[in-house]
Amino acid sequence: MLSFILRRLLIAIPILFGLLTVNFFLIRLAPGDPADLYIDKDMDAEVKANIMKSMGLDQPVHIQYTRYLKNVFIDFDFGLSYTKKAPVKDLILEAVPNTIQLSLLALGIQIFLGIMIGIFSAAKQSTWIDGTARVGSLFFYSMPSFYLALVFIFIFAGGVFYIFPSSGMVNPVTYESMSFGEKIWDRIVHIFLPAITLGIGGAAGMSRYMRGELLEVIRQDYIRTARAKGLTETAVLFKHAVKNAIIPIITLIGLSLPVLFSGSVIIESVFAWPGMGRLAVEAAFQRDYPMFLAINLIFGTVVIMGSLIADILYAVADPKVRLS
Amino acid sequence: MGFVEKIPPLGHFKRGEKGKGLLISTLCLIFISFMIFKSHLMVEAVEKTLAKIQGEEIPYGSTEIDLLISTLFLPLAALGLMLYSFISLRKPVANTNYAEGPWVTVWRKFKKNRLAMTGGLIILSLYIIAILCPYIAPHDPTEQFDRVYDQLLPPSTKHLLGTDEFSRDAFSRIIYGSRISLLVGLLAVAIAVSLGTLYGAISGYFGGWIDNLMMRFVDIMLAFPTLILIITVIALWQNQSIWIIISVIGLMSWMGVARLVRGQFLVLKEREYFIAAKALGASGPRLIFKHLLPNAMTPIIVSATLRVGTTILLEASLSFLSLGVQPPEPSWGNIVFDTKGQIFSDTLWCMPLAAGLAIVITVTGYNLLGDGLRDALDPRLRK
Repeated sequence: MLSFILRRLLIAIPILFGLLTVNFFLIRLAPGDPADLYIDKDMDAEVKANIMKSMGLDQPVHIQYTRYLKNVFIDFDFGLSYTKKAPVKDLILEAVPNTIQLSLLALGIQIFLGIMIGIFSAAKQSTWIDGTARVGSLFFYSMPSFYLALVFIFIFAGGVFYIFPSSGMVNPVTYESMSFGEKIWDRIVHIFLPAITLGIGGAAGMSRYMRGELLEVIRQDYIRTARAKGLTETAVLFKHAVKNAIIPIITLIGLSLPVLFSGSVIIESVFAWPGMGRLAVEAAFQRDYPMFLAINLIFGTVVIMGSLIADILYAVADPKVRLS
Repeated sequence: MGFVEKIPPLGHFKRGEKGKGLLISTLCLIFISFMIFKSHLMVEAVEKTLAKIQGEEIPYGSTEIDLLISTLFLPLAALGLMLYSFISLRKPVANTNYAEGPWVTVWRKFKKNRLAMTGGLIILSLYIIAILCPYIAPHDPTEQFDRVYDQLLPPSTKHLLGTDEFSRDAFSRIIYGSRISLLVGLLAVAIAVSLGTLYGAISGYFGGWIDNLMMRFVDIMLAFPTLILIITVIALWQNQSIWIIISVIGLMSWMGVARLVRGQFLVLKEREYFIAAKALGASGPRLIFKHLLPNAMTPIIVSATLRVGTTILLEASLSFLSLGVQPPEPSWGNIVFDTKGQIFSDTLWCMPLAAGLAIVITVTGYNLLGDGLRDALDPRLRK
């Protein structure tokens, strides 16, 4: 197991390396110069050269490239953000916990709702409950996350009722003067809508899988045996069927991590949540190259980690699977 | 055979083909009523085109070409439908005594699936709407009415969903927005599927180290965070024309299909019929295109259909982040983005909600269609 994890981590390094390389050259291939943001047309040639030099852009591309790789992999230094004039590393370290907080909560919601709806749907197969659940999950599955966010804002954050705030992580005016309990409550109220929005999209997909898996399991002989020996339907369902149907779903948990992270790009923009997604969109608009590269690297890491977690969870949940 | 049996909708009803008869006659009626009630548009299109052909100096841009295409489509489609319905009534009622071909079986199974048929109908009507935009939309989607008096008008009979901040008719924009979504969905998936099929076919057919190498590249590509990379590319090139967006989405989403096709090929290569064909000395391309690809088609078609839905969602999300199709050109994503502030207004809250609902309906349609196709095409589920 340990050697499997180690090997997978070792494979991850060349993949991340390839990702950085492709991105680095994508940026160099793009029309325009990374330094355009700083350089005016009427600037002195000398000033121009100085700016280029301070940004390391006077060197040939291959030297810039090796220097960048050395900075990233050895010193963990991603350079300075062009627009925010601060180290990219600090900005990202500030944003990552917010995104993780949001994604994990959304993951929890997704797992709970997805599995529950899937179980109910399969247990009541071909009834109106099943029909509603199937059409409902298809509907939410087909819904762009920003639209769901907008609908929630419309219903809960001002349009119809005003229960939850529609943006930010905390109340910007009164947060400082709150007591500890109020601070926690303020955070819960603020994270509620973004997390629910992010979670429901995933839950819709998950419930579809769960239903399918459970229907497959329910047809097996051992379920008939369990019923035949007189167990209650609840016991059959939860002790025998769900346990086996859930194994493939567990893999889905690892795989949905990167989906949640990318999903946060849009959710964070809608709810003004100060996380990675917002950084990514801002960097895209301001052509902040060092930020771009770092964000791509982090999202790539999340993708690789997600599939690694999926494999590990699978091996843990299913004794038939041996990692080698 | 009596007279009634030969008249299109009646004949279909009499034969018990109610759905077919209803669909054909409704579509025909819709097309004909468009031709009657919007005849001034048809006349305009024909006059302008004739004038242009005769060499007059008149503006003739994409708007006029749009109009011409819709104008040509209307009578041709109506005529085609009529012809088809007459011909289909001439054929005898389907004979169930002989074995049916595979596609007939698929169609029969598909027809029984009510949800899938709904999906198909949704998609069909969306494409008709997209083609007939100039006839359906009451106004030009980019036309700005009076900046002062017509800004943010509440819904009325003149402006069904009101007007937006730039005094444009929201309903017309939503109608025209269908074009972008359907075009992006179709073309990007076409790129992704053809690229993925080719890649997977080569990888699966040759196997060995070629396969190994090619699949490692797929692994690297799959590690790319798709949305972030697409955002990067679009932002870097700062060229947000629809064609760039289509190609970027297409070039970034072929990996799944490639894996699928490769997996199918590896399985099919072990089958007796393939070994026999190879032993007979069939050439490489013949083996790939005649023996492997047709048998791998089922999962490709299903995944392509489902992919159209996700691609439309992706395009909408990009447009919503203002990284997709740029206004004033309408796309559902950027309409929602432009009007999202109106969600708190008392009269215009339905504007962003309607644009978003259009996306949901389209994607639901494709997903229903894909699910239905999978059930109908997958012989293992066939009963």
